[in-house]
Amino acid sequence: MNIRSVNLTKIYFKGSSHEVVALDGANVEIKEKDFCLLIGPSGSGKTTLLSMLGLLTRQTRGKVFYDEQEVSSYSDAWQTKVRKNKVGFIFQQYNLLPQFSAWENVALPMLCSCTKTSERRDQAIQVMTKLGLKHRIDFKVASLSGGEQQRVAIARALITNPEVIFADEPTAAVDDQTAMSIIELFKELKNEGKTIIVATHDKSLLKEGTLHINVNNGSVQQFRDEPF
Amino acid sequence: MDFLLSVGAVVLTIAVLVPATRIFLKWSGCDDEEKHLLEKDFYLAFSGIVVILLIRLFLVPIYFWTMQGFVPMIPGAMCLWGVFNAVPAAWGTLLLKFVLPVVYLGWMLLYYIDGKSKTHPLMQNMMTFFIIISPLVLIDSGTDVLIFSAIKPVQVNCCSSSVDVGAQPVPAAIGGLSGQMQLLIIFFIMASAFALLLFLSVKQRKALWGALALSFPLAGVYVLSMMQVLSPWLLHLPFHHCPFCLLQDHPLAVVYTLLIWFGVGGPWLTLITKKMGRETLETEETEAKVRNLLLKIAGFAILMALIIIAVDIMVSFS
Amino acid sequence: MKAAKQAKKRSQEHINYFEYALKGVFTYKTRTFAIVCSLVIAVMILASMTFLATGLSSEASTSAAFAPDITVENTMAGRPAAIPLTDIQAISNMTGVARVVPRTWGYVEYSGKIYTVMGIDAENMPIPQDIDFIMSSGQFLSSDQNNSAIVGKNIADSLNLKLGDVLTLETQSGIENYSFTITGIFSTNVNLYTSDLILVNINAAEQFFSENPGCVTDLCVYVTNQNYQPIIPGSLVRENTNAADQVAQEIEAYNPSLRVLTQYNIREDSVSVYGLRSGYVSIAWYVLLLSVILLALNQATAAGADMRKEVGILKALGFSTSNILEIRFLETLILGFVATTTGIFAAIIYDVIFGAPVIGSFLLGWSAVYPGFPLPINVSASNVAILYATAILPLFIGSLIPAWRSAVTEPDIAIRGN
Repeated sequence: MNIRSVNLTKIYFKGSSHEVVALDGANVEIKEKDFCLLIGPSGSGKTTLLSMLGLLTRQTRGKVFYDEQEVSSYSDAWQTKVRKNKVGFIFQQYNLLPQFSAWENVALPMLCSCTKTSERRDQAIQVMTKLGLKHRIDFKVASLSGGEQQRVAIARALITNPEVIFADEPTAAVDDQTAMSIIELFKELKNEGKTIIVATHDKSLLKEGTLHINVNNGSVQQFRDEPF
Repeated sequence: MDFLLSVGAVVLTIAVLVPATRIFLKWSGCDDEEKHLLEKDFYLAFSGIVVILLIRLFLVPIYFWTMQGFVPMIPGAMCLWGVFNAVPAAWGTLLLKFVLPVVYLGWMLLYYIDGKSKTHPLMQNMMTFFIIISPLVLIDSGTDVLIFSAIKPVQVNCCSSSVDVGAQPVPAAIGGLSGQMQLLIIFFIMASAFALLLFLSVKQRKALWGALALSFPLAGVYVLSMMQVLSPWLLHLPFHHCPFCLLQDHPLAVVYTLLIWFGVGGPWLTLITKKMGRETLETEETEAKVRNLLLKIAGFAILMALIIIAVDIMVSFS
Repeated sequence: MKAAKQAKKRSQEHINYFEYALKGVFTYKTRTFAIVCSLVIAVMILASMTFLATGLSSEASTSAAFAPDITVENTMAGRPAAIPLTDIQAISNMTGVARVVPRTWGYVEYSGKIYTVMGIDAENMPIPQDIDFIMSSGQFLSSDQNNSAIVGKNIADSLNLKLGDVLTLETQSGIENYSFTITGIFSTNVNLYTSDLILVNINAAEQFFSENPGCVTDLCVYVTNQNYQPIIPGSLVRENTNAADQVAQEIEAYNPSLRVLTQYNIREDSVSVYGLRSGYVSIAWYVLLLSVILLALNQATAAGADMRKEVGILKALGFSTSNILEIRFLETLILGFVATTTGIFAAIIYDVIFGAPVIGSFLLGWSAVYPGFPLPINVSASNVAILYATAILPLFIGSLIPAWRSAVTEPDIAIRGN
């Protein structure tokens, strides 16, 4: 899936004395199968850009296109549909729900579809097995290690077979070994044809990217096939 | 229960008018971010509106059932006619009970059409429509509250003294064909023509205007037929012409009355969707599908009603 | 067929939300416990009162069937007085009167309870079919057995009376006793009668109550065109009320000092008493319900931070605002339904097993003086439906704002964490 933004701007607390321009006129073009890295210091606006491209946050100005459809003007219900069908998210803090087991967390995106519990479980087990989590299927989230929790979060992002995966600092909260396995996984997904967009500080990811977007003080520069 | 639910509907209607008015005033001419904030208000208004409309729709049969329950308690009342005489204001609201459900369904259809589109093109129309119908909702709910507060076991005259006295409005007999039979034939012909117009309306817009024009006369002829033909024949009381007694003592009459009501209301529903549900190409496509489906269902409802009435009469005389 | 398959598929989505809502109910335990407990108590009070009030009203309505079409009493200087038998002839001659039957009755205290002793003309007093009067044992009164008595089954059980036993009652003067021989035990479908009523011959009653000769307590007037049809359940009138009203007016015109009560009046008065008393309890109940709703509101808001994060995550994963609203409303529905059902069962246990200690006394209007009798309760479909609607709907409306606030959480809270 191609993702494009035109003049994307986000202003928090607009009109007040605490007004913050988190992003100003961002023009990006992400092609299908790109491994896109959003790089920048903390507070630069890369998470804002990520969340606007992922339709988690509404822009103040500008447009976002998915395959040339202007998804940024869609209603909340339709943006949700797009997220459900085409997008997978991996968060920095995993954001797993503690009242559910590992497989139930993985199968959450399928809850708002017409699939029975048994089907959801089977699908979740399939994805978890690929990620080496077969032995943790029925474990509650609290009893999983940090690395396992992150892999459960990744499995959750992959279960609906999305076209694009957004990841916010996926390797920040894990050890080096887990980080390496996550990077390998991203490479596999890229080879499978998925578009991957990652906001990161991790230098070991830099060389894997096919598209680098440098975010600094709300402004954006895009470099294709050249590391930052 | 009707009293409680009506009070709830009044309170909710007033509360929902606040976000509905805000959306109505600000929607056009605002940017995407402001639209997103108004969309949040819409969900509050929508939740309230759905609860209100479901309450009002649910209360239509409950209202009649509750009023029916008062029959034994009003001295002189033998049917709903007597109960309405005990609270004359109830006569005035009777029309509302038949008209308003069509209006409520209309709003729900607009919401359905809007939901099928990607950018809420009917948002302003929906809120406008709700603001317009909210006084009717308040009147509908408020009168329920007042009626149930005011009802007392006063001595009343029941239906016979009103509908059975004096000359009956039936045509004179012609060549062996009684006035009642003539009336029944007229009703069947009109209803069949109406159903035909509904089916034709799917392809030809002009037929819809014909159906709309025929809807009120058909409703009037049906009520007349109920009183002059169906009540005497089905109740086997040749001199009794009360439609409420028919509905009370012959439950099948409720079924075909509802079918006729839906058939008559159907084209008016499509008028609502046509006027307020066509803002963009997307909504036009969805509205067309909804309209065609409604017209077909309304046509079938009329035909079903005619069949059931015919069978009912035949069984009654067998 | 295709439409049916699609509908079935769509329904699976809503089943999934229901399962999620059920999980949510168990996740936020404090909120669930607070709302359920308080609603159970509120519903239990309302349900108990509703079942009792409608049961008593129904019983009062049925018991009024024992009353004649018109009851005629005498007053003197505004106070009840015995009515002379000479009025029987005058009233019998009025148009529309079928028969006039005298009656002497009063209350007697026995074993710390108060019972009704009613002297009737056994040959002429009609017993209506409505109250299902049957002789469980023995036989009905006969005019040649002057000191015989027949008692209700509950009296026989509570006082351990059998056929042939002698029941000695203290007369009005307090210095004499009067003995009745139990010749029959009756049952009716009105608990009040079987727990309270002792029927004797009118002559014995006159002696027992030291009534003036030629006077009785009241006259029972029966009008013509009365078919003694069963009372329409829950209704206040029987057909041909107008006949009784016309005769009543004629009797009042004959002697203005007579107090003339139609059966309709008696039934309406006794039924309305329970309506009035249950109304007082309803007012208290509304206050209680309001506090339940405020509690629910408070709990919903207090759980806000965790809930908002959860909602943000769900929205990031593809749940729409409508889906979240549906889940929240399902949670409210589950809580309301469970609490209401528990409250209804608790009310039935409270009424039937424990005899409704506080509410029952308030509704009945007297305390230990009256003989105990199984409280009639009426658990009808309409009562139960009204209870569910009354309990769940306000909860629903009260949860509208918290549900909405939860549902419109921005999905980027999942990324930002606040």
